[in-house]
Amino acid sequence: MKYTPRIYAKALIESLAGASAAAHEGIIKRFFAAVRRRGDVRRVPEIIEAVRETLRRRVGGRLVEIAFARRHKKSILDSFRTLFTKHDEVVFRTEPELAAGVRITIDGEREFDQTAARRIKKLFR
Amino acid sequence: MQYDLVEKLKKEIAGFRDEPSLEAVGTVVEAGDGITKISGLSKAQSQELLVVETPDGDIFAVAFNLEEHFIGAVLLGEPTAVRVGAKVRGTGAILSIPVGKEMIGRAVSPLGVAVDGKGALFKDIDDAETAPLERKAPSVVARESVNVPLHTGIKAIDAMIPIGRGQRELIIGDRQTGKTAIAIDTILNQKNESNRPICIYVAIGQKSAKIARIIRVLEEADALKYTIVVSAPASAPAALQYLAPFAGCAIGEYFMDQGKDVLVVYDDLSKHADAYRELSLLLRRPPGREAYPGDIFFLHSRLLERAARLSREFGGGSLTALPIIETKLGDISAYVPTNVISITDGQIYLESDLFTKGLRPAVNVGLSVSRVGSAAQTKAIKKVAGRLRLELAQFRELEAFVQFASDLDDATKAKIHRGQILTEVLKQSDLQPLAFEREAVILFAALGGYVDEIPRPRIKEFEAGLLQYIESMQGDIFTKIASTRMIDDETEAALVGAIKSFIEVFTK
Repeated sequence: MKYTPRIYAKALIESLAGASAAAHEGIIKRFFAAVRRRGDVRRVPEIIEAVRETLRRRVGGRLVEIAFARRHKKSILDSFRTLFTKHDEVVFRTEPELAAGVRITIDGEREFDQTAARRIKKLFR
Repeated sequence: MQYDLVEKLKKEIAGFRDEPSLEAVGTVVEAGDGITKISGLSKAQSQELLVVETPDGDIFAVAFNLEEHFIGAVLLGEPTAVRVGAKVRGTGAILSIPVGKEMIGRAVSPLGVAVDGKGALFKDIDDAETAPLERKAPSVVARESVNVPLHTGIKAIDAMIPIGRGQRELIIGDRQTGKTAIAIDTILNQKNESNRPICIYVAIGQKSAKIARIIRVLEEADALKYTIVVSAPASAPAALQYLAPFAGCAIGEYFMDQGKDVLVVYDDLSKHADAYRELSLLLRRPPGREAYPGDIFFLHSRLLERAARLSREFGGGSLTALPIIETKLGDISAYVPTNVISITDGQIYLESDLFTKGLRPAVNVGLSVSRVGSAAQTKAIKKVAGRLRLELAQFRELEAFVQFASDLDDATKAKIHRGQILTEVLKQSDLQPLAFEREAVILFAALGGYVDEIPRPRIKEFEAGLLQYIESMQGDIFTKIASTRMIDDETEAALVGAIKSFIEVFTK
């Protein structure tokens, strides 16, 4: 049976949690050796993402992706960051195809889309 | 012109409202073979319509597998346009299609889009009513027992395997045994009916050329004006082939709910099962017997349970289902055939051997049965055909002795002769269905022994001549049988007289 990235992530986090800080490096090395043995090296980015997601969820955090059509000043980005808790991981993106406005996606499941691109699409649907 | 367009657009923009809201979204993580795996959309329902955003425009998909972290969805559009990372939105709506009387006389896709090149089905698609593809079958309370006949126009079937409105009668047989021909004849024969049902022909996985030929046949026979063709040809994706019978049923239910009678032909459910198997295997559902998924029985039972005769309080409409199953080498004990046999209210079994012997329709009377239709059989047919099955059964038993005919006693010889005559009378070419009053007259003559003296090669000529003679000389016989639906003593006397006088003319 193939291991999913979530299973790898759970195993790694639980192994690290039960060990001292000095043992962490060895655990991580052995973990990647196990991943290699199972032929899952190409899934490492997914595994890392699953680790981040699991750690985030443990403390009640969410992945917040905020997309603008153009680059904004740091002060504007910071004002957006204040809308979320310190446990939330806030990622900013620039997507020129949005034309204007902002799109906020939470955990890849819920979306608040107030971009010009979406409004134009909706208008002509 | 340009000014008008600008003004129209300005009005639309002025009336445009876009309230800020949180929407459920997902992302495509895998795509291929018309299937896609989506992460997110954790609140999606089974069978929910999803919208996949692609550079070429939005593509619809249906949520099939709801798993812990992913959704397995079936794409309903061009699958090559879907890329990993594409955004998917839930619509909150279960898959439905637009329905309406505008569909009558048209060929449509399983998604309710016209495919006959005669333009759009509805003036404004937003005004059209919609019907869900998956709907619960009518409850026990809403149903009534089958009591109105559905004449096929085929003597052998109307006499021995009668079908009632609201019944589910399976047409089963090997390839090239005339299964579709029976279904098409039944549709054509509805032209003769006073209370004509709306007919829906669902083509699943058929060759496009065959579908085109069927549409042409219906058009030439003036039967397309009360028929809808739902087309999911062999070239259509498996998802559309899977949805086609449900679309046909949804259209039928729309008319049934209005109190109308509907006949739906599913041609054929073997290919439908194959399409569902393909989807299920691609979605990695566990394969069962013959690699079909575990719910293949439920797939067909929930479809065929939607056939019903509704009680008067619920409008009194009906939906008759004629599913078709193709067997391999006459094996009716294969998985899908046995399933559908057990679901339906009887079956018309067609045999290759009979077909090659020239017995057409190649109905095997012994294996064919109608479990509820006899209650709906027209009295006229019931009266004349009551003995037919028994006489044919006796003939089948004695048939092996035909080659020793010279050594047999007179009673056996007479039974064999009668059997041969009846077999000849029951032969009927395709695309030539007969109105039930004409069937009753021919069966009356045959079972009354009036045809016994006619040489077998001339029986077809005799039948045509007799019908023509009664039509021109005593046409009121047909009118009376058609209106009263029975043969009373007075009509019987007139009929005997007409037959005898025609025999005199015919044998001269």
